[in-house]
Amino acid sequence: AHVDHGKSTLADRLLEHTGAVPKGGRKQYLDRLPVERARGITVKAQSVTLLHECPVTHETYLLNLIDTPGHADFSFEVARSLVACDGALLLVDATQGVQAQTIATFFLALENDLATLPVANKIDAPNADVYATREQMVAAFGMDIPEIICDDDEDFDSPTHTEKEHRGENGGGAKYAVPDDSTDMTVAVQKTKARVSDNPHFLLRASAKTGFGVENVLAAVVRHVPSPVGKDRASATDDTKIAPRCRLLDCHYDPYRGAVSTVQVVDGVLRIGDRVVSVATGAVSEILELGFMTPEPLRTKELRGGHVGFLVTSNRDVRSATVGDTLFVAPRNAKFVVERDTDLEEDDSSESDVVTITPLPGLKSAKPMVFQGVFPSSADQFETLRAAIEKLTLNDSSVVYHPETSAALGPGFRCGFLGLLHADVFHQRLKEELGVDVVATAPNVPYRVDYGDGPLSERTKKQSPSSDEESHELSRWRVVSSPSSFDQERLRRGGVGGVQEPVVDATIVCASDVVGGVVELCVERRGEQLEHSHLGAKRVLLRYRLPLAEMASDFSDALKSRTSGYATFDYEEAGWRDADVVKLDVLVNGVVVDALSTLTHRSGAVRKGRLVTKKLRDVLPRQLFEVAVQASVNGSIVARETVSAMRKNVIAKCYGGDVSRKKKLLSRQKEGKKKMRKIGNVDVPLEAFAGLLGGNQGR
Amino acid sequence: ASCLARAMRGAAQRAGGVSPPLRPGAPRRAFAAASTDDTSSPSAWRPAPLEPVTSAYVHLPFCRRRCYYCDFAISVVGDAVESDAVRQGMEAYVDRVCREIENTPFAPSTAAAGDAKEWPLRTVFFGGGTPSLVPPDLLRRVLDALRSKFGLEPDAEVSMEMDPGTFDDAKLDGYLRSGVTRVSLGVQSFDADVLKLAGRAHTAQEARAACAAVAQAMRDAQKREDEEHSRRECSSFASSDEFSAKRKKKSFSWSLDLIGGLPGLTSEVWRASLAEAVFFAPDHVSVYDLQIEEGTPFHKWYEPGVGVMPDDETGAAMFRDASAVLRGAGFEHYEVSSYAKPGKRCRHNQVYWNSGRQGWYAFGMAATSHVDAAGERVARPRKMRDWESWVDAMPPFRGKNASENVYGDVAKETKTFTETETAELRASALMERLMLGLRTRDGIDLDALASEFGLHVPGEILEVLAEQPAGLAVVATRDGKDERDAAAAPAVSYSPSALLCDDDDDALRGSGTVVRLTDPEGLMVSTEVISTLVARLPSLEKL
Repeated sequence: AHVDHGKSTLADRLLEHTGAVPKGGRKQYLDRLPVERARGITVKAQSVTLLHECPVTHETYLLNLIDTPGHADFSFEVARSLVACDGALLLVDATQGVQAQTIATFFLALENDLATLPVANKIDAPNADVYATREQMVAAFGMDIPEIICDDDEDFDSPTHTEKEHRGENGGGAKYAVPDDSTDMTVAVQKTKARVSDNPHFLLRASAKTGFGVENVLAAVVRHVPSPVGKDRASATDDTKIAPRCRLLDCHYDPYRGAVSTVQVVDGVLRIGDRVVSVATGAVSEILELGFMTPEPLRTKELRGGHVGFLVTSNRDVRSATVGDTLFVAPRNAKFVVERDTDLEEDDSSESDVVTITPLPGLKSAKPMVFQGVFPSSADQFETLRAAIEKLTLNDSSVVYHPETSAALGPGFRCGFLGLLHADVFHQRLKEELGVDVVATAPNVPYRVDYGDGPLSERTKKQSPSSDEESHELSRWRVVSSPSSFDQERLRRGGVGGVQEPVVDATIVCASDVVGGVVELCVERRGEQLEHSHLGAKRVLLRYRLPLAEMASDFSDALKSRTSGYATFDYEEAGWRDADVVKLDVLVNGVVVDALSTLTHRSGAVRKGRLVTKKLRDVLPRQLFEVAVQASVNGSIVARETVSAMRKNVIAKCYGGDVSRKKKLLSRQKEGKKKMRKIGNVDVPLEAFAGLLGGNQGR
Repeated sequence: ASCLARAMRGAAQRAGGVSPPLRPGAPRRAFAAASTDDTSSPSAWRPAPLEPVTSAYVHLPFCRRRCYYCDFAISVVGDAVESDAVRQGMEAYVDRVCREIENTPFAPSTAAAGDAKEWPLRTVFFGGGTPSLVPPDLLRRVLDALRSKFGLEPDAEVSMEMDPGTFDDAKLDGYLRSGVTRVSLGVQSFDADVLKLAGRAHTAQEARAACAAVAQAMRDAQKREDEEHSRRECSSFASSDEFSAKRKKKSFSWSLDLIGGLPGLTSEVWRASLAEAVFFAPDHVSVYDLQIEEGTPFHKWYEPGVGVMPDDETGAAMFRDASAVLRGAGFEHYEVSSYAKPGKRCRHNQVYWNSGRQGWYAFGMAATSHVDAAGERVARPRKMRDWESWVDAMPPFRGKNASENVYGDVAKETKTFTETETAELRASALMERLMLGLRTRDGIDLDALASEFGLHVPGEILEVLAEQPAGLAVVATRDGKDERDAAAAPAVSYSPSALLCDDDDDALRGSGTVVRLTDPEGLMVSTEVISTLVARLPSLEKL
């Protein structure tokens, strides 16, 4: 659900309630990365296996819980998680109501055909309004939620009673008094055994902070989330011919064990010693270790259909693991045929020992939305940076990177991120986990350019005749992820070419009295309205098609300031749109600083040029001479600032005892200067290159 | 000029791939570096040994109160400076200083030179604090201790800092009779408001009276000395007493110290203070630019350009005014903050700025000594108690002669350094040389740098300076005949003239190439120029 609606805190309570972790332990237990703990957000989805004993039937259920991120940047993690799930807890902060990410998550769950259990969280708060929340859910999702707010099945006495006893009391039963503020996440739930419910329409009330209603949540999961078994086995006619299959959900690198994969077993049983084959790469490896995350790793001998656990194989290379891949167990020396959706051609050999494998539906792969140059803060640290980026991308495969060299900053990388928060988190992890200081240049979205001068014959040669038109369409475009690879001159020469920019469909939820400001902002940002509807009496849902470039920069801050924080937004890709894109260059005393060039829409070039030159003027230390800072588009200056020359810098006294002090001071100044980059004759501090990152994203 | 031309020819030759006929230069001074001109073997390099140490600094930390800009190690005694308690405190301090002097080993260079008595002190400096709060008889005790330990040249420069309002004619006379030859008078400003805002303990009236008194006392003392000297000369001529014939004449002088950039200063007030300083006709003027140090009230109270604090522009104008007014009055601007009439430079301070060759002893709380070419400076504890224990823990001086009792380890001087250590020592020495040299009118001698740090160093320096704006630095022959803007000088235009020049060619000897900052524009931004140089010099990369 939405950021800060209490997902990870609810996960804590669920862990405690099922005895997986002791009560009153570390908060947001599943957020393990330092950056997650520092910011109080979830970046990586974490799965955990819970054992829940039903208080009535005393049957024990094995539940797999995935705690997911809330921020829009990480929505692909949510999307991936939902593919692996059978049900989802849709958490809504009852003090805030339905927000943009609630809507995004709901539709994702709907697409995946999941049993969706809405939960109104934070009902202990004095300003919690469960009725309004319900009203908004009905309006936003067309959900049919009956009047009764908490409708647990009558069979389950104790939770209902507990709930009923405390109904209406502020703060609920303080059974689990965990005095603390709550944080974020979507909670997706999976289980191995369940009974199918007759009426899944209700809204659970809970307080993840106090633990109120947690039993009801578990009961509802058991009651309404279908068991995963049989989903993919329906097609199987003969059990012996079905190879055990599992889906690779995630993979991280452990320095001692190599690649540790999180897998969801769909069919059959995985055992230690089994030979597993990757459908994506064909690589064969042997299972060395299996187990559950409970949430601490618990090793087992086997994982069965419906289980989610970890898997270590003889293949240590994490890069060969493709998230979403299907792994299957093949008997030694057995032949197997991978059955593709479209490709039904039968192998000539029809012997009985040929195993047919159906790949599981893949996972949505992460697509970089913003690109940045990432450079070592000291040029001789390039190799260290390379090693660090390689290491970090082992655990964050959504980051793409390739080498890039800047005249100003030397060798570095062009990195693609899911969004600005993701980029920021990545930099922080580089610094905190790997101790590498970087300079990250201003972010830009990828553009695609048709220079209109490509040799057509060569293009057609490469294409297979069948899909000529389509691939011709594709080959016209060249994706440009860096201002340095954008050739304005060539585009002009070509004449007939053009540039397209990525657009997104943004969902904005705001209070109805600030809607004017939101519309104004969207229009300024070249938005195109798609929808304007009401969510209950006081709330409006707006949908806009906006250029990603406008969303990816300071949209979030601008939205916050225009609505005093009473608006939230989420977005999804919506293809490409023609755009008049220009390259904005920055000159320091007449020398173009390549690391400061940006691609921008022509209409915003002057505004942006002014911003950039002002910022640069403020961070440039005074030099011994006057420095002109200019912004230019196609060679014409659109903005200018001046840094006046240093008037005086003299340390007067320098006697016996002063000498060593002055020397230390001088060494410090020298270190500072060495960190600066020389542009022409001007010393430019590293912070001048840093993009307009940060702001109020995350915390 | 011809030398510079020759240097350029050398560069041209090198560019053409022909090595100039280099001759290893003979050591040009008595204690020249065991230097190398071969940069490929840095381990062969070692810091040049110091000359025998003949300077001493003595810290007398007592002040009536702390000025608002001051972050020195001082000991505040209040206004009851004449009280018995204060007198006793000073006596105890002075006695401990004497003990420190007594127990201090000789510098290695002095020891190496044989009999320490051959190297009596040439300069002594009493700094503070407010040394003029210490009664003359106590000051004499310290001087006696120095004399008996190290010896003191009869014409040694013995400076002391004095503050207006802390002495009368009799006291001043007492100091001079004790052996003080130079007074550095802390006037700071002639403006009542500025003095008040700075938290000074004296008034403008007291400042004027003090200037007049010191000027008169110095004139009188010099007159006495002149008379006595001629009397001696006559008598020695008569008696052919060799010793008294050799005795050189003492020189008495005084310095008037001002601070620029103080709160409340305007260009008008500043110019008036400068004019008044010139009126009192001191031999020397020190003009310090206010540094706002952390932990001082000023640091809490002021920001440049806000309220009574002069802004950068005004501060720059004050620096220019000082340079123009004082040079116009016949002073030589021989260091960033020092002006002197010809022949009246402060010899002691110049030792500090020549630290690659000269060292100094130091005594008293927070005082910093430099006696070992490779060793860092030794700073005494900044707190009275700590310093007291430090002195009390000193092993007593045992040796009869210098070589038996020296600072640190004699082995240090002959010890071989690792390559990294050598590189660090060398870079550190070079950095210090640049930092101190560029602050002076004499500048840096490129020939000396080339012979000590490698032939490539001068070229590197010129290359960086050539990137700076015009008008800040000049390259010149030592005799000043050929002088050009360092920004206009073609990048690698230097090759060591002294080494190229034929040793027999007397005309060229000593007319080396120097680099110095211009006055006032270059000196005014000296910190920036030096830090740029230090940051960009390839030879300093390792440091």
